[in-house]
Amino acid sequence: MAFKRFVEVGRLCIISYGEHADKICVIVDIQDQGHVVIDATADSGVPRTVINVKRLKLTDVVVKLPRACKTSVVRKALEAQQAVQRFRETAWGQKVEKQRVRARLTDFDRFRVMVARKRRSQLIKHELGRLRSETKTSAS
Amino acid sequence: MSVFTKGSSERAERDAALQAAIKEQAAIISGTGNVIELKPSERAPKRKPSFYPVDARVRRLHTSAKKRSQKQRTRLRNSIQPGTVLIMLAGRFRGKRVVFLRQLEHSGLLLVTGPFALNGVPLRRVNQVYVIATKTRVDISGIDTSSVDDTWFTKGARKAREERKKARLRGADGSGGESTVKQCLPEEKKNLQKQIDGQVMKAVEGIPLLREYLSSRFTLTKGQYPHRMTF
Repeated sequence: MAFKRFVEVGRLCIISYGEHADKICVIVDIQDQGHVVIDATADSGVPRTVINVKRLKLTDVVVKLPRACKTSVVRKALEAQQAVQRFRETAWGQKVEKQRVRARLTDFDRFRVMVARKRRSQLIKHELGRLRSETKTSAS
Repeated sequence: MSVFTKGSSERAERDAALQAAIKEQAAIISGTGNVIELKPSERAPKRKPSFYPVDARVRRLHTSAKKRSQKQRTRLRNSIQPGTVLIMLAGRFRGKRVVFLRQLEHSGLLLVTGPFALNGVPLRRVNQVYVIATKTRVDISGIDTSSVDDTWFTKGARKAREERKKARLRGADGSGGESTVKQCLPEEKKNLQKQIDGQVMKAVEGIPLLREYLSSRFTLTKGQYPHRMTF
């Protein structure tokens, strides 16, 4: 198995620990074996900092960036290359989005989801039973 | 120093009153109605207190709700507004979802209703620490609940309890037989419950699935941590 995601300049990451957990950032520079400099979009609220690589989850998305470039350049590049949007389109990104939505549901929303799920499984069960009986009658 | 003198003067006053009372008693007993002067030897001896109070007795001040300042009143949590759906956490109605009507002035408790027809919770008082406030709200503006206050819940309750107890004791003897006093709510309370619930129900029917939501009990399932959830 060859590795596909590397710690490299321009790699989009998700912070896994601390104040900015679950936020998206990008690697701007590599300090040593364990530490990198990260930066992010303005709306994420993540400041330009040095962070331990252990606290980063690497994504598939890589942005073309000059090494150790300024915050303004990083933000422009992220915007122009639609980095965050590209991540949201991946299966991982969609899962994260789904989790975010689910976490924000109120008690009443959860109840409505429960009812909808019940209804769906009921429909599926009904349809499946119909198909089964059809195949049985056609076979005999 | 002044404390002692004051104390002694009070004691003297009390003794004088005691002597007067004894005289009066003696007069009644003798049937004459005349006040008989007692000899000094017949008087009640002056008693020294066997102990001195260590601390001034703490007296609870009973202030009416109106007199209480804003600071002394129970502060309602910001998340609880009229019409908020609450989840009850304690007592026999735990897990029930109820509608908050208003905060009661005197006790600071929450006035809630099931509505009764949906989940069996009557008009009831709850402490706000025993509920979870949800973000769901029912529009209950225009519902008049002013006839319900703290006394509405306590009035007559004690008498009824005592009567039931008496009936139970009679039943235990075997002399009284079955208790004749049944535990039941006065008709006017039932009517008020119906009247308020009817208005709440109108608002509830306006939102799809809300009726079913209020009828169901709240539970936690696997992987749900209440401190991490939004309600």
